[in-house]
Amino acid sequence: MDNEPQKLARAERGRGQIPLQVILGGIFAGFVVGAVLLSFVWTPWGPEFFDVSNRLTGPSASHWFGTDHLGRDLLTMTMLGGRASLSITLISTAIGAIFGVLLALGAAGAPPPIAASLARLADIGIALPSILIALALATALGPGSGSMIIAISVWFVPVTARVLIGPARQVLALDFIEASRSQGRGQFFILLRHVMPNIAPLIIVQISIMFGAGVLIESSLSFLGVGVQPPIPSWGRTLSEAQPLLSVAPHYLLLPGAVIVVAILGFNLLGDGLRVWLDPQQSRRGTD
Amino acid sequence: MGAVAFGPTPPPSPIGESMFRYLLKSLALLGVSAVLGSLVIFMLLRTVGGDVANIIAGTKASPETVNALRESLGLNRPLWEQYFGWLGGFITGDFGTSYAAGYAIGSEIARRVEPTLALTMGTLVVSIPIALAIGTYAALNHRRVRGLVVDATAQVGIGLPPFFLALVLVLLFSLQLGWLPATGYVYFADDPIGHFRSLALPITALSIGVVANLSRFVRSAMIEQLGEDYIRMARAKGRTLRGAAVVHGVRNAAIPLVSVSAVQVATLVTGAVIVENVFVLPGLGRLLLTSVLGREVIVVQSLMLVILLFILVLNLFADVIYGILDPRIRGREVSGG
Repeated sequence: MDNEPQKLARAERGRGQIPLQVILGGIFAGFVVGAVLLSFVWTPWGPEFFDVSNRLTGPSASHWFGTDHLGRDLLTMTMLGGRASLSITLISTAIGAIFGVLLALGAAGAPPPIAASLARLADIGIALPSILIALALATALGPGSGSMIIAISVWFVPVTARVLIGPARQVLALDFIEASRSQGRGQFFILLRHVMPNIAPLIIVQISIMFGAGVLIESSLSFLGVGVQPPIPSWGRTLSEAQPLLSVAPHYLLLPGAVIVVAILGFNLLGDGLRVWLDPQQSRRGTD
Repeated sequence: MGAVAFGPTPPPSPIGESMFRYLLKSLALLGVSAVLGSLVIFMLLRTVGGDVANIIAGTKASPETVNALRESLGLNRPLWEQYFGWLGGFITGDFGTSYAAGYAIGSEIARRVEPTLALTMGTLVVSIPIALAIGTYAALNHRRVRGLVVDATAQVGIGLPPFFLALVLVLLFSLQLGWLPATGYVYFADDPIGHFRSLALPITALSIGVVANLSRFVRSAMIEQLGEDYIRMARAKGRTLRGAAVVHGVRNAAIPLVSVSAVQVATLVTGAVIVENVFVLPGLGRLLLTSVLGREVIVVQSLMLVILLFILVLNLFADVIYGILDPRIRGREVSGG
C-alpha cells in the first residue's frame, strides 16, 4: 500500500503471463455470452415450437437440453432467457460503473467536507442490499425489468465507488499531479485526464465482478417472480418453473441451472484473474 | 491460554472505558442508519409508485373501496405526518392490519421471526468454524495443488446461486435419497429432532455460499499472519507450522473475519429471503415475498424496516466483537469520528 507509485508503474510495464483464471473465465463467460448472442440469428428450435408428444423428455440428439412442460426445447429457452439476464446486467453495470466512477472521483477530489459526506453516502448505500430495494420497487411499481435495473444499479454505484475511492486518492497524492497543477490544470481536468486513466485497470476488474453479481441478482429476482414477467423467457423463471417438476424432470432444473453457474463463475474468475494480471503488487500477497 | 503471550497484547479487561464509548458510538450509528433507512423505505414505497390506495386495493377495486381505504389508512394526510405516524406506530408496536388478509401486521411479524432467526443463526454457527478451518488449510497449502483445489472449490461455491443450490439439494437429499424433508418447517417446541431435520437443507443451501466467501478472506488473512514474528517465535519453541497456525494464527486471522462478517450480513439476510421461499419456511422472507406479490405496501414497509433493523443489530454485534478482539479499533473509532 505504501509504494503506490511503483505499483502503478509496474501495472503499466510488464504484465507477464496471462493468468489461468483469465483464460478459464474468458472461456466460460465467452461461451455463455456467445450462445446468447447466437440466439439472435439461430436457435435449435423456434421459441413457439411446442413438441407436444415429447413433453418433459430428458436430453436427446434432437433436444440437447431436453424439453419443458410445454414441449419447448430447453436449450432454445435457455439461449433466449439469457437475453433478458445479460441485457439487464449490462445496463445496470453500465449505470453502476459510470456513476460509481463519478462518485469515487468526487469523493477523492472534492473539497474535504463534500468528499467526506460522499464517502459516507457510499458506505450507507452498501448496507441496503439490491434484492431488498428491488422488492420495495416491485411493490410500488409492480414487478418488471425496470424495477430490477433501478435496484441493481442503485446498489452498484456505492459498491463501485467504495472500491475506487482509495486508489483515486492515492493517485491524487503523486508528484505528477502536482506538476500538472503547477501548469495551471484545474481539479476537474486532473480527475478526468490523470486520475481516471490510472485507475482504469481497477474499473475493468470491477465491471467484470459486477457482471457476475448482476446475473446472480437478476436470476434470483426472476426466480422469485418479481423480475422479468412472462412471456419473456428468463433464466430465473425457467428454474422456478422447474421446481414443481423436480421429481419427474431433473434435467429441467440442472441444465439451465448449470448455464447460470457457468456464466457467474466465468465473470467472477475473469474479475479475479484480471485483478492479478493488471495489478501485480496487490496480488503478490496471494501468490507468493 | 498460551495464545495470549504471542498475539498483539490484548487489554487487561475488554470492558473498559474505551469499550463503553465504542459501544455508545456503535449504538448511535445504528440509530442514525435506522432513521435514514426508514426514510428510504418510506419514500420508495409511498412516492415512487403513485397512489398507494390504488396499489393496495388493486385494479379491480371500485372507487368507493379505494376512497374508504385511503380514509382508513390516512393516506390523504401530508406525507411527513404519515411518516411520523408510521414511525410512532412502529415504536409502540402498532403496525396496522393487512388489507387483503386482515391480520394484525405486528403479531404476524412476531410469529415469523423464529424460522428466520433459526435459519440465519444456524448458518452463522455452522459456517464460521468451517470457514476458519478451510481458510487455514488453504493458507497452509497455498503453493501446493491441495491449496489450489480448495481455492477452485471456493470459487465455484461463490458462483452458485442460493436458489439453484437449494433445489439441487432437494433433488439429491429429499427426492433421490429420501433422507430429509423437501419443504416445511417444524417448530423446536413441537419436535426438536424434526426441527433440525427441517432446517438441515435450508442451512446447508445458505452456508455453502457463506463458507466459500469467508474462507477466502480467512485464507488471505492467515497467509499474512503466517509471516508474523509470533509464528516464527512459536516455531522456534518447537511448534510445527500447522500447530502455530491453529494455536496462535486463527485467533488473529479471525479479527479481519469479523469485519468482513458485517458486510456479509446483508448477503446472508437476502439469501435467507430466497432460501425461505424455496423451502416454504414460514419466516419473514416468505411473508415479505407474499406481501410484495400481493402489493401490500403497508405490510412490506414495516417488514422491511424490521429486516433492516435485524441487519443493523447483527452488524452491531460484529462491531462489538471486533472491538473486543482488537483494542486498536476502539481507539481509532473514537478519535476518528
